[in-house]
Amino acid sequence: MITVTPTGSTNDTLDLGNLAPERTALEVKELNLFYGNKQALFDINMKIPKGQVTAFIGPSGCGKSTLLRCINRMNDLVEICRIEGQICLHGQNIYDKSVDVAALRRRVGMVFQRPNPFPKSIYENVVYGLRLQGINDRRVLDEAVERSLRGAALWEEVKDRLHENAFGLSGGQQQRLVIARAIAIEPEVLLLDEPTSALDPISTLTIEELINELKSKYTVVIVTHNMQQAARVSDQTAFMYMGEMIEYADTNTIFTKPKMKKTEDYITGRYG
Amino acid sequence: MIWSALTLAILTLPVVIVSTEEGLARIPSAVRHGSLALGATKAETLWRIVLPMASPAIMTGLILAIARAAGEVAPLMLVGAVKLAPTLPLDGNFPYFHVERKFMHLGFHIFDVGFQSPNVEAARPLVYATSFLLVTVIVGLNLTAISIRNHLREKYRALDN
Repeated sequence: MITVTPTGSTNDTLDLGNLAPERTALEVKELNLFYGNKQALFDINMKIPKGQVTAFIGPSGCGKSTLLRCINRMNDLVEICRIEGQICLHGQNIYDKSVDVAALRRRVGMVFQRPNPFPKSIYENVVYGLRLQGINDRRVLDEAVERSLRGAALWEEVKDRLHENAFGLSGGQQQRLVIARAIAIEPEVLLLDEPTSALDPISTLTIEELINELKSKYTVVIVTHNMQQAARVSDQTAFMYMGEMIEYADTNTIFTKPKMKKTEDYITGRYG
Repeated sequence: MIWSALTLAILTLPVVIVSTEEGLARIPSAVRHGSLALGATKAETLWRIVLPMASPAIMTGLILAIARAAGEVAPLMLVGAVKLAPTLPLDGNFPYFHVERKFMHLGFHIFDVGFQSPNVEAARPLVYATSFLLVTVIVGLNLTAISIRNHLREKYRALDN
């Protein structure tokens, strides 16, 4: 069994089924997703609370990354992908025709599995999103760089070489740079798709500590393969299997007394 | 002038297309997705990320195409190169660049002086000089292409690992 040290669970357990609208950041309603003829997600319903860390766990190919990518519409880039149902960000359906996808992605930031810095300086990487919005005032940008890099716990390491190429950083630093880049545009929700799977244990630890700090400002949704990691960083955990949401509850419950047999089998390592 | 320019453009288009295509294909989709995820539109991503990253390949193709075009003789004989052009297409009179004028061509000049001249012996040094100039121009362009490519590759080398 996994020992749970709930560093994250500061507040009382939320009733996830009847979450009040003002505490809900995201609401997924009857979401079905198809790749061509193959259905990848089946009737997903969930409410993700504001200002907390929610983890998606499950075996490879269970659809957890696919679900995450629905939240900022990255699946739009997959041509054969078709989506039914709704995802509401603070009450507004993001799949509505009137929604500007670029604007949505400014509100819902995303960090990918492998660090993907741009071939630019560290400074330019962080301000990329701001420059897109037409902000070119040197002072504003300088401030944003320091704030974001501090927020991503990277400032002390790179403050003297902001104008060097970002490829000179280590993998863990690159991943924190990508997080800094994402929080520079101050999104409401931050999506992390297995952010530590390409990193060593020390960098992983740094990122996990960072996630705990991030939730004071952002709603964080994280996909992870690593159950210990889900237990360490998250407040809520959703277990997915074969495109279905099997169980969604607060992390403590999932890891200590899961209701469903499948969840228990997975977290005790019987399959997956 | 304008017709020969078009001829050469069409002639060298495949070189440019192939190298550009290769350059674009080498850009990892992760980087493009990273840009899109920050709220960039596709056009912004193309302009700010994809084109700069593909620039080594595009530049290489471009310069190789110029070198190739510089050595091309046969099609130009048909569309504008003349034995002796009294004026350059470029001069001080408005609009400075006269696309309708005829021009002289190094390759054609070699052919003309070497084979069409009444006194082949006397023309030989001239042929050597012209050939040397032509070879130097082409080698120079190719070397420039290689150095630009190496320089830009260095800048984006992390793409490869």
